[in-house]
This record gives sequence, C-alpha cells and structure tokens, in this order.
Amino acid sequence: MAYFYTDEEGLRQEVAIEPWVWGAIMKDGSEIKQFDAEKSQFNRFSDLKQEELSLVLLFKPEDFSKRIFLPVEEGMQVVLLKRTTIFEAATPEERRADVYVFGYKKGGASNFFYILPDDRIVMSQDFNLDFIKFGI
Amino acid sequence: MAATIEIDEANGAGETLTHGITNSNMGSTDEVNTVATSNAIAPSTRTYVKYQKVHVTAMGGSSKIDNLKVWRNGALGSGGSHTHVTNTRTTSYGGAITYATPTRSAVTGVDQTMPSSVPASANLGIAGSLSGSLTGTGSSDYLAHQIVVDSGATAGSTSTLTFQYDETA
Repeated sequence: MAYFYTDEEGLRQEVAIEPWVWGAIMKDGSEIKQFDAEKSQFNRFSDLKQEELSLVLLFKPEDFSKRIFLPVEEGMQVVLLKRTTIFEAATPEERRADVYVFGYKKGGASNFFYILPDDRIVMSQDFNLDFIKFGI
Repeated sequence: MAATIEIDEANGAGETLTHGITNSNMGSTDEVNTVATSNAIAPSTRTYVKYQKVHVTAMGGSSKIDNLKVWRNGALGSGGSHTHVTNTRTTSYGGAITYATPTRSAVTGVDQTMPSSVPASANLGIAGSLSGSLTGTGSSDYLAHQIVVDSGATAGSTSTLTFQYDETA
C-alpha cells in the first residue's frame, strides 16, 4: 500500500512505511495514525498539537506485540524521532542504522526509549545516549 | 519518513562542490575522492584541509533534520602523536566556517580535536548554530578537518568518519 504526504507547497510525495510507527489518541477521542491505510495518508507527528495529546503509541506493524504506550500528562513534551548513524561514511563499507527515540521531557525530568534496529529497547534519561555501545 | 542524506565536499579556489563523495581520504593534494596511495602524507606535515557538508537532498515527508554529530573511528596510526583537527565542537561553536581554498597550513578555527567517539551533543552546526535545523533541502555548515602528522609517522593507518543526525516526522 502506498502512503502520501502533501507538504505546505502542495507537493504530494509518497512516503515509505517505517519498521516502527506511531499512533495517537487525542483528548477529544480522535485517533491519528502515522500511516493511515483508509486514506493512504502519511501524517507527521510534528503536525499534532502536543497539548491535545492523550496517548501516544509506538508499535511495530509487522508484530503488534511489540508496542510501547505513553500516556501523556499535563506539561509533558513528547519526543518522537529517528536517529540515523552513518558508519564508515563515504566508503564502500558505508552503512546506516536507525534508532527510534520515543519518550518525554517534563520540567527537569526526562525519559526515553531507544528502539534499536533489532528491536531491543534501551531506556535512559539521557537524550544523547551512546547506544552504539549496544552494538548496532 | 526517510530523508535522503549525502556527504558533499568542496575543493579548489572555486569551491567546486561534489555531491555524494565516495571516500574521505586525507592526502597531500586538494582533491575529492583522493587516492591515498598516490597522495601520501609526509611526516611532519599536514594534509590538505577537507571541507565537507551533510546535505539533505529530500525530506521524505519529515519535518526537521537536526542534532548533527561527527566523529572519527579508528586510530591515527603509529609513529608519533598525530592529531586530527576540526572546527566541530559541542560548546562555544564558532558559527559556520567560511570556505577557503584548501591549504596544508593550519586554518584558523580548525583547531579542535576531532572526537573519537560519539559526542555528547551536536558538534556540527546548521546555519551557524548547533541548535540549528533543516526543515527543507539544504546543507549543514562546513565540516573542516585536517590531519597533522608527526615526525615519526609510519604508513598504513586507516580510520573512518561517522555521522549522526535526528530526523523528526
């Protein structure tokens, strides 16, 4: 199935599905999916209003048993991004590894789940955790 | 979300930009995709400065690229205390370095030690700031770096660069 995103300039582009994707339930009960199969639409997490989030779910489409729920509390800033490492850059051995960073910042506190390429999960308060030492 | 990222390099007086370089070899010539064995570095000399950039060629539906980090993997080799200098730093970032015709001399601002493990925070800026971001196609600030070879250097050292960035959808 193809998913499309239309940007601010009206350019419609196809977006490839990710190994881990998010879904969100808003305070008004509506559900937003990163990849909406009914509409063949890709939605950006950054387009959601953080103050209207009730629950964010990060899950693996190929294996729904792998999922992480994050109930959103008042004052919480949800962090959801992909951190890509380019090893041996600009060499014939170049390889890229993606790690999903999913968590929150609230006041001076923070907590993040790092989903490694092989689906191992590392939890840390450090937004710049050196996950490379876990062998990715 | 899958932005497309390449590493570019500029060379020459005219700042000739090559997209998607295929190696980052440092040598005794100002040349993109340098053949190391043909451009050996003599002891007690410096390599030509490399000016490279992280270039976003397509956002792929993502909204932002930021938190750029670069570091070296691998030792600089035996035969002395060689150093790998760069403009990258995690604090007191000097803003975007201005391109200049690559030289084998020391370059102002290219005087920090290239990290040999992942930095604790961004060390390569965008639009002159470590907290900068790309929200569309474009490039980072220049990564400028150079190897300073000690007097007793022996041949055969190999190390590579690692880049890291955050992509927000």
